[in-house]
Amino acid sequence: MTSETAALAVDRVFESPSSTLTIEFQGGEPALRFDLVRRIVELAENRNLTENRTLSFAMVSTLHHFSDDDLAFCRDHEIRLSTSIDGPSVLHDRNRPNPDRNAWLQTVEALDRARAVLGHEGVSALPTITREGLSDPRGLVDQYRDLGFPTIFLRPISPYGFALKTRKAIGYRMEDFLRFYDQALDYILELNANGEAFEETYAAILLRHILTPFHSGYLDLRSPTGTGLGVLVYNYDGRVFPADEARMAAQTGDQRFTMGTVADSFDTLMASPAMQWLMKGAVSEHLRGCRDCAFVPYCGSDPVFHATVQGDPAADRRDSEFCQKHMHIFRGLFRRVAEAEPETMRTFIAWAMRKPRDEVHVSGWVDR
Amino acid sequence: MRQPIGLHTHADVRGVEGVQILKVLASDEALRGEYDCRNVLVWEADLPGAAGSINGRSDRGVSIANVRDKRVIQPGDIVRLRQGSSLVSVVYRRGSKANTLFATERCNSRCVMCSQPPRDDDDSWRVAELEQTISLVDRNEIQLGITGGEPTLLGSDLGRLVDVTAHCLPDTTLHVLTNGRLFQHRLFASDIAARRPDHVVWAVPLYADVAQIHDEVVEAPGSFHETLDGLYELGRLGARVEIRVVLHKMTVGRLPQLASFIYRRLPFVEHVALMGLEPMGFAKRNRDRLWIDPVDYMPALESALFHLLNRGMTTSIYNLPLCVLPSHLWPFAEQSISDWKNLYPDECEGCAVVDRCAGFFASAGSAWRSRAVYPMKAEEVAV
Ligand code: SF4
Ligand code: SF4
Repeated sequence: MTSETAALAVDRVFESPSSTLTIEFQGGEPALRFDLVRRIVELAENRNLTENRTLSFAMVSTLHHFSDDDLAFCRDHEIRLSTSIDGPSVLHDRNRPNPDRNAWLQTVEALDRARAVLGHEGVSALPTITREGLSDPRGLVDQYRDLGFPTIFLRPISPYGFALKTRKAIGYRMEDFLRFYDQALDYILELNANGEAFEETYAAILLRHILTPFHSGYLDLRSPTGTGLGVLVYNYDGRVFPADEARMAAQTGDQRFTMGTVADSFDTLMASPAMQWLMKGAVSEHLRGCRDCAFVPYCGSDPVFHATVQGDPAADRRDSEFCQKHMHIFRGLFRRVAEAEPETMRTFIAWAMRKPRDEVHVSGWVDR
Repeated sequence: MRQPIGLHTHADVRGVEGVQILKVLASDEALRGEYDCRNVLVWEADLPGAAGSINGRSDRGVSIANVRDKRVIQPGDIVRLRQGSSLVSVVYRRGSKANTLFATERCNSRCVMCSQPPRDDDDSWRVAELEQTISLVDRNEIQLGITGGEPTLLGSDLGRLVDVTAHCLPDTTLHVLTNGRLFQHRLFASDIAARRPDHVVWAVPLYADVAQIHDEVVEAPGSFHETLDGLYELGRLGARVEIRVVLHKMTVGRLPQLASFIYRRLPFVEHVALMGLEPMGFAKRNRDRLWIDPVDYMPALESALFHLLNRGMTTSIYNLPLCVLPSHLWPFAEQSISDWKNLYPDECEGCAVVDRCAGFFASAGSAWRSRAVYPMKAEEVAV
């Protein structure tokens, strides 16, 4: 990305009417262009002196390439770092082959370094779950516990972005993921019941929707969708997309997902044909499948997923893997709420309310 | 038995014209000139220019002598006197946590357990007296209550009281007991509640999550929806709101559901008070419909309380004695009964927690006390 493009992107960011703004850097590896990251952060902070929005920064990185100076900059400007850790070293190294075959070791060392500067809470991690990973849910969870992460976010690999060949090698059916998910969640709930606070973030997001009148803020589970309305992706070449998944879809040559370029005004981008097309599938309450579904208040519309997989942002959700996944997880969570096993409820309330589990009074009334 | 100190006593009162609201002050404080001398009764001394004296020697102006119950009046208090009457009423007591201005006897509801049965007479004369009272309240008072009747029936005069308080007592919070129904009118709500959003708490009772029960309790059809509309107007204006639930046979059945309703529909309220019943007024006459021994609703109370606490809602238990509550609920129990009507009967003799227990309303005869009341031993309360 050129500095001109970056500056234009910052202009677009502040054209958003939102009172809270998060700028997230993704790659490739953004640490390889940390000079640009610095420029953008400084530009945005300066701009915010007069704008007075709640401004925050995040970056997705392997962590391998940071200098101490870079890390100090992240600390001073409160850039939250997120990295990928796919599980035990064997698995991680196989997913992320590098010449020395030591990706896991490098990441863990880099994690320690980053934590030393940013503090323990300053770095989070996300697993990419491949077919091989499905066989060992406990191993993955334990790896996160061993590395001192209080949470794990379990989600299947997305269908975008991978060549068909790769997808065949690492992909799986949704049923297989959900079996894995159930096992992992059982295990995590068991850990919690034994007094160890550990969160499965996807369940926590859904439980916040279920057990509270508030939304989690999570972009993929919104209606109206977060696509374009809650997030914009500025590509290195200046093109603008309504979601990261749309960017990946566009990489395969499908230009329907491109909103325009950073040189276009925010309003122009919002009124683009891409947005008009995707917004046909923006509101769950209006979509076939969802409009008759009991879970619609807690779910989301995710039009980009349905546009890429089913070819239509407003596709009937009953045929989609997105729905299959959510239907299954909702049923599991609601079954547990109906059973109301006290320790499970304590865990659920702690997750939904984002508070320590020992501050939850178990015997509180649970609406069912 | 520990008896409360009442708010009324008799004395030899002379020199009063009409009704006078006066501040009782020791001479050194009177000399500081914080309050207009013409509204000050000087304590056991005479000062030229003052309205008069209490237990003083002079015959000039108002004089009060031979107070029957000497504990009732102290320096700092505000008293109300009427020409030709020996009655001295304390309308503000220095140091009390429960000073309350009585706005009107009129009400648009008829709650089955109302402790202050409303009357329909025009009593708008009270407003002027309240303004005078507010001007004499201690400047460092933390909180002043406004009750009724239904204070919102004062209409724009209620706004005046808010303004006068803002002017005389800039740091004092007003705590207004209201059924909130009139706030359904957006213009009225914005007129009154937008005046001092940070310094007025609107304490609104809600008795059930369903209209049928709430309306039956307040004996006013449609009031559930009116109160909710009012609460939403207050919420929209960013006003401070407290929800009050009086616990009795008609309300405890759906108490947990009510807790859930409050969290889901009214998450903006800053405090929820779950309150034991005051056996006064209509409550006495409706005992059959209302009385349930608090120990019998403990499970409902506990689930409602923990439901709200788990969800980050500040919640308190009012008016219930500690011996009736399981000890893990004690941290949420307040000594909420106004001092002038707070009683610790003989059963409390020798109790180890009498100093932190809410005790009873003075009006609570033995028929209104739980079978679970017993003096706690020190070793039981070593928590
Ligand atoms: S579970 Fe399926 S049908 Fe229900 S709201 Fe979610 S996507 Fe729509
Ligand atoms: S016996 Fe003790 S705990 Fe019970 S009401 Fe009396 S003072 Fe309170």
